Amino acid sequence: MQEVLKNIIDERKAVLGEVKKVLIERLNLYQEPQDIDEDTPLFGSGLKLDSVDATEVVVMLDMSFGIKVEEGTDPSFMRNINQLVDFILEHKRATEAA
Amino acid sequence: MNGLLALHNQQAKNVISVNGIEVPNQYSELDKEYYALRHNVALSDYSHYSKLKIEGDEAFDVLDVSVAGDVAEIRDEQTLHTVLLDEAGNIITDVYIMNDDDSYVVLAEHVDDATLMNLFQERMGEFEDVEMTSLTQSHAIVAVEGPYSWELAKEIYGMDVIGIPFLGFIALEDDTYLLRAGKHGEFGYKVILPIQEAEALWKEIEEKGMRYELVKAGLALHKLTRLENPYFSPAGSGSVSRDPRELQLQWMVRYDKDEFFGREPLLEKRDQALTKIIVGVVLEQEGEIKAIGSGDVIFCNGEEIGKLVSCGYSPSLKKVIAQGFIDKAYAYAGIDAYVIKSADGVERKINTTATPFINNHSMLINPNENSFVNPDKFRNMLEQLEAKEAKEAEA
Repeated sequence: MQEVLKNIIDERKAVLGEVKKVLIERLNLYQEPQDIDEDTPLFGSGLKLDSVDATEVVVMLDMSFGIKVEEGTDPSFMRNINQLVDFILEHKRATEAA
Repeated sequence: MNGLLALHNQQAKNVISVNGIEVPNQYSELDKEYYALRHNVALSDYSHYSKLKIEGDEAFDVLDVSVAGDVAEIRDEQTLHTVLLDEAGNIITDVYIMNDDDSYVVLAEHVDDATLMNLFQERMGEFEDVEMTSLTQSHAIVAVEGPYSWELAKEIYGMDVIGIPFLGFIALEDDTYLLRAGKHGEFGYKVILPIQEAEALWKEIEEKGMRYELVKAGLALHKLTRLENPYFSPAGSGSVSRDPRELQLQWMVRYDKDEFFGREPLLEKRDQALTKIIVGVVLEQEGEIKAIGSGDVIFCNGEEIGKLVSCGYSPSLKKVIAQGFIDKAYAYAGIDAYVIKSADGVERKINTTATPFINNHSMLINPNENSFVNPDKFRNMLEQLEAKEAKEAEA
């Protein structure tokens, strides 16, 4: 695997691991990190989070990743673990570029 | 022949037999059916689902040892979406389990009635106080689905429809249920009712649905909608794996439950490193490309890393989308370093992505504030927000 690709994958793996760890801790989920697949839905089915948990996710983004979610932000980033990670990585890239 | 099937035979483009039950495969043009499901309301017949009522003092116990999910977490008028596993810990079918005051209705799409009954009977063990009744022949399932299906369902069943959460249901009369569930990402309501009442309901929905621009739809539509919003599919990703981990369906399994059929082999697999998983794939190039198909090989710098499993053209994205079965080391979303080689010999760039592939239109609709038919209300929250911003700008 080329170095550039390896770095991209390693960065994503690190954020995935951190997101799962923090969600388990903050929301008292019963799963182990390896039992949460990356496309697992957060609400409805999947992790079955509710609106109170949604607030916790927003707090988690601030506390663990330094991201303040602005009012009016498209909430689709909270649809599943992968989309949450996309959101974090996009924010990181935007911050680095600024 | 029941009245609803007679109606389908007269009106549908084609009717097929699934699990031994005849249902419409296509009613009109697929793009018309797709648009209705994704933008307003589609009407479908899902009577091919196998339906089983399980009652008795030990009904809970039988269900709990039979399925991989936690039946104890289903409260009254709620539904668990989980899976039945085989002795090797592989998925046989997904099932909905509805808790109606401690008697249960099980719905399964991918096994026939006799198989579903047998699966529970072979898992019964020493439990005796259980009565199983098939509802498959006696009951139909009529479904309204789409971003405004809640509004049409409300016209028929009243305001309570708005309060039904996802996977919640209302028991209407004996053995008649209104279940909010769907495998396409939009609002969806399934009415499970005695078959002799299905034709009248179908006609009532069709008539009341006219002002919602309702379109009658068949099962063929869902090959595409379930690719856009992936669910367990024996013909799709299920054709390469039945392992919940490889299919990213571990959310349907409760590993910490003491006992369920297939648990031990599943736990053994869980201790082993994953080698491949299913990942969403989007073609970089826009447009429908017929040459791309299942089995096309995925490469990274000339090295084979996986294959396409199921694919199709997404009208919402205007691109070809697919599920790839990819070596775990490469199977992450957000990667643009891979290509596929198709039957025409052409290499095309792909991006791996999170699934669902699309942002469903239903996510923009708040049933308490929006409406398809009320001119005094905005159709969706986006229109509502734009109007608010325009008003603020004027002021």
